[in-house]
Amino acid sequence: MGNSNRSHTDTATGSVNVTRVLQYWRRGGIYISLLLVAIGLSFLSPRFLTRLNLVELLNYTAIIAVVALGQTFVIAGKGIDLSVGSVVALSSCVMAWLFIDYAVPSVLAVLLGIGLATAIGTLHGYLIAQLGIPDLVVTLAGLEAWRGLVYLIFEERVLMRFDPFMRFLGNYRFGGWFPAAILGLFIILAIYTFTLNRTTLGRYILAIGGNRRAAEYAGINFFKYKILSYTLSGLSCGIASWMLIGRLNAVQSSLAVGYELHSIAAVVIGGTSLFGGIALMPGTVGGALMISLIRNGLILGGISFYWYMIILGILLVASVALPAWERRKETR
Amino acid sequence: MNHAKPIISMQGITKHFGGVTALEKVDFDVLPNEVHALLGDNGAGKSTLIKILCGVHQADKGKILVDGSPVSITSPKEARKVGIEVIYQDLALVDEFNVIANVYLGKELTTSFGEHTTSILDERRMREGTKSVLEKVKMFIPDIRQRVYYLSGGQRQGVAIGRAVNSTQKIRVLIMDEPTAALGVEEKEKVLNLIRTLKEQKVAIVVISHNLEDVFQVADRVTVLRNGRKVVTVPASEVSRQDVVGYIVGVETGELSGKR
Repeated sequence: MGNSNRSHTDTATGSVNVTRVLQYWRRGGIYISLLLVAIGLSFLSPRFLTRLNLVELLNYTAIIAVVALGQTFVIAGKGIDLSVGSVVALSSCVMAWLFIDYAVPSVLAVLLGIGLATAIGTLHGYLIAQLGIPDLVVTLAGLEAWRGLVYLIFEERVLMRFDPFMRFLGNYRFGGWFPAAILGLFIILAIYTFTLNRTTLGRYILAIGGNRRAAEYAGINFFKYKILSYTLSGLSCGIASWMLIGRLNAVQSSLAVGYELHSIAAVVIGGTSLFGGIALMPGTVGGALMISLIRNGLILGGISFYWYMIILGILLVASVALPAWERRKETR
Repeated sequence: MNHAKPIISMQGITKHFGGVTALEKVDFDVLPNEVHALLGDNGAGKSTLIKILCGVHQADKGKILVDGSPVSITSPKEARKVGIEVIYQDLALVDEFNVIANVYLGKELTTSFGEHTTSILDERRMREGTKSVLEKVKMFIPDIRQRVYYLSGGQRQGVAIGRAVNSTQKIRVLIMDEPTAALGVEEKEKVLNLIRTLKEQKVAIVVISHNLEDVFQVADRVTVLRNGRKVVTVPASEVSRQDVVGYIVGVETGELSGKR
């Protein structure tokens, strides 16, 4: 890893250029790809490049993008959060449940739901950091267990009919057309981007992900920042739950299945490194958008949904293959 | 010779790992403004001794004096408090971070005071600070926003030294673990110059190395360990390289030179 015997600059000018290109591709590749796919789709269907379709696309993407933004913090710290879908389901159901069965005021119900998701994220972080259980195991257990709890409490119930506040984030439209979800997404994106790049919190999460030993030697508290990365993922799941309630206006146990794959794919496609230390918040939103674009394009083109799953799988492998190849080449 | 009082004095340091004796009553001191080379074969106890000094391990017996008064160094943080900084062989840099972020890792400048879970980074001041720190150690890095991954070995050493020197606490002793290992000739020269520069700035330096060639270029004194015991501490000018090899491998120097 940290050997000092690499001397790119004086020996292999050619390889420096390749790595430079890869560096730029990591930052900008997602936007170029988005543009290319968008152009392709506009040929496929004249309806694609309409304001309506673009707004709907972004609106549709907002929920998974918010989850993926939280996931970005976790992956920045070299973790992985497989539990996001189940946490979203649990916190959505709890919000709805408090509101409908217990007549808890909607503001309070939403806050309690977000609080619950944040607490669950923190618990995952604690189990990982303090007890040393691998990220994968804790969050895989979370994926299973929280979903089980949701079914245990709500079984086949469908909770519906919410008030305007509960539906606000997922359903309200400014001026009759601009979705609150998109505004919410961009506010969260701005705050998270700032936190990641301009605060010690973001810097330390990246540091423990990039080189835990170096970070600890520099006096950075691994446990604290590992836990906080999962807290932020939980918080994002809570906010996404509020969005989801508004969007669907009906809540049931089978909600938000598969969010783990989509959020991780969005993060990785967006240029964040699975090896920790490098994370790009706007890239994550770009990655989420890319996933939606492909889905949208396949629907517009009348192509089977199974192709969507296959293409997503290929895209995921391709996005990880590039940096993995980069690393292998470098450490040689 | 240098009759100044030692900054750091380790006395009768003994350390066991299970049944294995890593160090047996070792004395080791660091004088102000000297480059002190710590030599020995693999397993001689160099790393263990240094890890005790910088708080990673604790000695079973013996004491450490800083400026003549006994201290207990139980963590790297406490070592840093008394002015002891270590640069590990693999430099402990975050490869994905740029030069600025590495120089300020764990001691970021922020726009708020005191220690918080999170505070806003002051990038501009850190950028300026990085420039002046690198100037201080006479290390030229064209683009300090470049990820350190892409720097050469010598430049990476420069960043690591920059980080060690960049401290609000005045650095008294810098410990460098194999600073020239695996470097090219030119890069090696750069690092040796860095050591000379630091010495000019009144930093005492402990160099752990296998490379006698490099050691003799910069060292004022040499201490040799063998099998967890100290063999000798001598001024570098008073011994030949052959003598030192003899100390390291455990052959009497007379014998060695007699064969020649």
